[in-house]
Amino acid sequence: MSTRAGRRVTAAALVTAVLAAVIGFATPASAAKYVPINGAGSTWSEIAIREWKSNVYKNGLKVTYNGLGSSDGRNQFRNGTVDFAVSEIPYGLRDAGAGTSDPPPARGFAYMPIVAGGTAFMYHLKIGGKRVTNLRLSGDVLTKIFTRKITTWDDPQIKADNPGLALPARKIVPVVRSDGSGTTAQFSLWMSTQYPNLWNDWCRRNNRATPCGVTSYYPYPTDGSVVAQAGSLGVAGYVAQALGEGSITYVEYAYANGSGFPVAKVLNAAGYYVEPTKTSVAVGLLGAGIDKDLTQKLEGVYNNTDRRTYPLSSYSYMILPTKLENGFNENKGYTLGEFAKYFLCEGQQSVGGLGYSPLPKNLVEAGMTQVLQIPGVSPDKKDIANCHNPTFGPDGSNALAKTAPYPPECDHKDAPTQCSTGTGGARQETPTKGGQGSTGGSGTGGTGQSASPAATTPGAVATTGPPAAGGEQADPDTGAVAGDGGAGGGQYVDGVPVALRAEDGSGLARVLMILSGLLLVLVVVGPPLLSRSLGRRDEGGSR
Amino acid sequence: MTRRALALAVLLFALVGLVTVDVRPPAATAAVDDEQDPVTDSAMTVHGLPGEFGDDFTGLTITVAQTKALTSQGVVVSWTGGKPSVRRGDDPAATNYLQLMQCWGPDPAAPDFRETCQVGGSSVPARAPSAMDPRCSDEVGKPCESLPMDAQMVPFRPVEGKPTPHGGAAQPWPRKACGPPELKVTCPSTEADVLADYYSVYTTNEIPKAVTAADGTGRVVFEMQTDVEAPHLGCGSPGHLTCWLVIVPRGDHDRSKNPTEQIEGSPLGARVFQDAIPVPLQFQPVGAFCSLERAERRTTGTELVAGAMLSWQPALCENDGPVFGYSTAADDNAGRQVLAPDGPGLVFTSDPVVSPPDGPRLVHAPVALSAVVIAFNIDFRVDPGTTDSRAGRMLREVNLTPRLVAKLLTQSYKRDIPGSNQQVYEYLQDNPRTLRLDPEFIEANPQFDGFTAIATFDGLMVPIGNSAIAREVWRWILADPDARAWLEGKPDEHGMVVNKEYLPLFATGSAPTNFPREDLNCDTPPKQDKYCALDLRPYQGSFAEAGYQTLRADAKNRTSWDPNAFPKAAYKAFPPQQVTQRFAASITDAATAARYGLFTARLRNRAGEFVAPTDQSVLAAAAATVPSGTAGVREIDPKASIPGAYPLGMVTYAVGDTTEEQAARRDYANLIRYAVGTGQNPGVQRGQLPGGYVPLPDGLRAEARAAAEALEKAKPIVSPTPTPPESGGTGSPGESAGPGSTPESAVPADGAPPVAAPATPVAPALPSSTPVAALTQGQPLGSIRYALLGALGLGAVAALAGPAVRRIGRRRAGGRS
Repeated sequence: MSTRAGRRVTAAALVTAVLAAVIGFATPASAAKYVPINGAGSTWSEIAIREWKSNVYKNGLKVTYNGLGSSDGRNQFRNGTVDFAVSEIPYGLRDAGAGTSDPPPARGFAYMPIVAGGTAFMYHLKIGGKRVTNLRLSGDVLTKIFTRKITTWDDPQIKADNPGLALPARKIVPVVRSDGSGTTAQFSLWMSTQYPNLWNDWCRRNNRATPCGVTSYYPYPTDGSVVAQAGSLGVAGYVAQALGEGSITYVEYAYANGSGFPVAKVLNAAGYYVEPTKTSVAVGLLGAGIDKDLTQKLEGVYNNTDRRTYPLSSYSYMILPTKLENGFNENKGYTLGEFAKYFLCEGQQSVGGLGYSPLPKNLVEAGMTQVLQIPGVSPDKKDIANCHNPTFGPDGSNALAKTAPYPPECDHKDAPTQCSTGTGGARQETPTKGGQGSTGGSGTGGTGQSASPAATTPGAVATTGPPAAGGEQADPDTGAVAGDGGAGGGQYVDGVPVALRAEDGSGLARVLMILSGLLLVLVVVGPPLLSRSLGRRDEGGSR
Repeated sequence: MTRRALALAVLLFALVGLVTVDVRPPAATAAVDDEQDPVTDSAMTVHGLPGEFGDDFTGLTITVAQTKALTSQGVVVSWTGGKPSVRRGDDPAATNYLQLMQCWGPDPAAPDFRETCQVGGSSVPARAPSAMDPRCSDEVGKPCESLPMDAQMVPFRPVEGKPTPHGGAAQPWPRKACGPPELKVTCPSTEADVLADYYSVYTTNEIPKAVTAADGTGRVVFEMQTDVEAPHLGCGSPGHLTCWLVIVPRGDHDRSKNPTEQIEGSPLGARVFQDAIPVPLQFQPVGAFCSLERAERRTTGTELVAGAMLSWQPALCENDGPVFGYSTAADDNAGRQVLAPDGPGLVFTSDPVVSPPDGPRLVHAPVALSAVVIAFNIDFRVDPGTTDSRAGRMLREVNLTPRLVAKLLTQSYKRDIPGSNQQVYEYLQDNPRTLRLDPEFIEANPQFDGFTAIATFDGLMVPIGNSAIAREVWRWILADPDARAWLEGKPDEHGMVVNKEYLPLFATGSAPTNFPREDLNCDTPPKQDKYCALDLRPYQGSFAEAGYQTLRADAKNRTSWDPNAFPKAAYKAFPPQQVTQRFAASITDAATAARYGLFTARLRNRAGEFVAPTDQSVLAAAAATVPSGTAGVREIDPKASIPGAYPLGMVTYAVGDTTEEQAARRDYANLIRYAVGTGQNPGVQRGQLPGGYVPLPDGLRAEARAAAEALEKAKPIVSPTPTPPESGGTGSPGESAGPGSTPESAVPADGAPPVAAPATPVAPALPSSTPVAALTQGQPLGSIRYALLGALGLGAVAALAGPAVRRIGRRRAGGRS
């Protein structure tokens, strides 16, 4: 309970502190007390920041945060309206999309890493009415999808990434951010360095100067082939809807997690398709180079050859004030310092569950150094030994990276088929055809249920999952998982195989068949009839 | 006052944080005009004075609902006998309004008392002394302005430290750095810059304009700030327990005592401040907080427990108690996390978590009883040019049927779909534009007689993502035959139909676990980019945020075209709705609504009554829950008719992992014991049960204690011959899916063997008015039935998706040409 004592400030001490600040040397902050602080910026890391700030209320800290995007955060910090900002990119990057520079602020500042995570590719795709949860994409295919070189899901290049899926001939709808976004900056940085030709070509087609490089403002045409939405919630919200079927977006993993949707496994330099879990991001970031100012150099992450790597791993920074100006005083510095020490250590415990990855030791140590630049910060606390960061191993190694599971062989690009395990917020399995399915992998305790092998049906998605070990019983008539209470499965019963199963037939099955048949007729006859009326409506509605 | 200032006024009013006063309307059917906010023993009533400028404030009677034992909380301030605020252009109150602020000075009669008031911080100067006030230096008599002529503001004096400079030549404001750093340019500071050392527009609790309705009444929720929120005021710090709420009434006369159409000037001006009404506030001492040095025990889970955890956390760490961290997570995600080897040892969920055979043994303990509510913020607004004594008052009562909520959640009112599509959708032409114009709504809400038809309602705010909250809202809706039939395509009595995009969703009969926006279509106004359904009705980040945005009356709809946006023209959000014109509502939890002082709708239950979420109605709901498939966990039966029961009462369970290490199990068990002990005492102090929660009945507390015991001892648990749960056998058979049916959860649900059933051999805690036998249905029929439903669902989806896809394709093609 030392904090209470620390809160007691004598007027004299404060006056001394203020005087000292004016003269320009730091004083011991023993007399400092907690005062409210506020920040603004990134939505990529907002979910983690929101949890931290509500957690430190019990410690007597009052923190407010406004997640309106990294660009907004950098602007507000520059204008002096916030005590700190959070951004995925530093000041001063040339942004062809912004048309103007993003100059560093006149006030003193430093960068500090706060949380790591994977820029994930959340998608909405169904095969035969069943949600696909195990999609895999290689980097160039991803880039081609977001630069409209690949426009349908059954493109041979996507099929090559997914030998176990009978991909539908559905249009791909890329969903991008319409507002200035650090997530866009991270994704465009990756594309511009890994696939510069594809990216520059896309920029050229969208009237951007080339070489295009990193941008916070995604270039997109207005012909409707690409959907633009504001904010992380906007893009995730679009993909999550029924009409979002066929769409894919880039967003921090936590948002896919929270929306109950899967994310694509992305091919890494070692030839494995990997999901952006806390461990794959932790491993990936072992390859990060850190500039002197703590901004990140990610080439080593993109091409990290550890087979557990998620290649689009990165981290968010807090932009810290290093001078007493713009209303930032020593008490605020003390409070911000304590808040930072909390979230670099204890606060990293919960980020894995939220869909992020805890910062590794080297970044925490570097971050602590930056914290000490904050005027008013208490200089003597939180040595690394007392930091309850889950990545810290006893021998100084990254515990998370050390214990990170290796991807199963079915995630290798040369495996005969692909893993059937779900990803992101959708842990249920997707049955795959050919070869052996697997429930292995780096899933978080998910024990998805599996359909019975007996349900293999020609013409439908073949189901060769492992034996039904999860305890769910498959219905012998339909191959569907029985019961509506199943966690998954139930809602995605595929009707098509039902209709095709003509052989054995109890009375009930026959009724089902007839009903399904009727519905099939409706499917065939309905669209022309409906679309005629809808077509009329469309014409009537156009300006 | 400019538009900007008004937006600020609304923002400030909205920035009421950590408000914990319970202001739910009583359940009785009282007329709007007769309702009162509940007051406490320490309520205080004060009166106005004859005004300095010739206004008569003596009829003004102001009641502050609580003035003692204050902590960080919201307190209702209501008044009668005020002169109605006068609208002028965009300004809802050009004259006749109140200004409220918190001050720390010891003596309100002292001449420098005004310097201790928290006012200002925005870009609009709010502390500027009036140049027209007589100066104390050259005038005899009072009141007079003691500051020099060139002073730019009334200084702010913090409780510790020196006052800010006043900005005159004797005390100039420091200059601030601006422009590119290499040029080392400085600019003059503003009032906000000078005050930023202490507070800003983001942190101040002042209410710059509280409006008085046509009948002379008004009501605001004032956020009391302790030493934590406002250390420069220091209220509640050692030796400083008394502070002041200062109310400055503003009339409609200028300094020459002539009537005016626009009141100007700072409330701190020497003469204006003569009219100030000080109300003494006694704060509770701000106690100790948890040490940042100590490791946390992690917890995660449903937002329904967030308000309680925020209160319990600092109490639990007292006397070297364990420090608990808490983060929000959806129910299914929380279930996954407690099963993960490196996950938290305790999570909160409304649904049972069933461990796989090789997974950890879990215990379930009921720790909080709360409710899902529909919170609203509606000002009674009349047609321009008409008069009504209710004009400008906040509505306290709204009745909603399941079908009305279904309409709000399915983009079926014409204003809930983008612009020109309202004309494109021929089949929707007979649908009302908004809830306000729906005859079904008016029938249930006669108090809307006389309410203007041009009210702008930006939709029912909801968050994205799966949750038990969302599912229970849908189960309540689907249990109502009228609502269900309407969702399946049957028009209501007035011809209103559901947005067709939603038909496939309900063809299966199962309850969605989120709030989908099935209609994603866009509008393309001339010479502008298109905007789409999610710009018009965006998701909120959480249930708590939905509640907060209701307080702000800001649905964040991005449909305001800004041709000058950076880096290119774009849609941006409208500012929040103005006070006196607010019409906002959200689905949130009762604790969030109570925290922000929001009124909540009465929902119609299966007994046909409109019921508000009160202690009694939520307890009645809890008593009527039925056993779920997991021992120790009960669930709502939405089909049961329970007179007096609120339909969306929700029990939150703490789910503990018995394979955690012993010290952790003990701490988590103690958390459960605290939660169902001291943590159930209602109140606003730390450690108490915040407003919006209902104290758990004794039976549930006993169950929780037994579960805590089982968790701490990690006893082998033998379930007292559990009835094997139905395959999905929760809730009403065949109709709405019950807990555990969250379709994409990886938590194995009821199909798994019941090994995880906690050993809580406690007699059923609550009398159940629903026969349990009604749950049991034939097993084989069960699964077949669902297969059929699945097939039907798929058929319907396919039948509808075909043309929809074609239409979208064509639309896109059309857009390119």
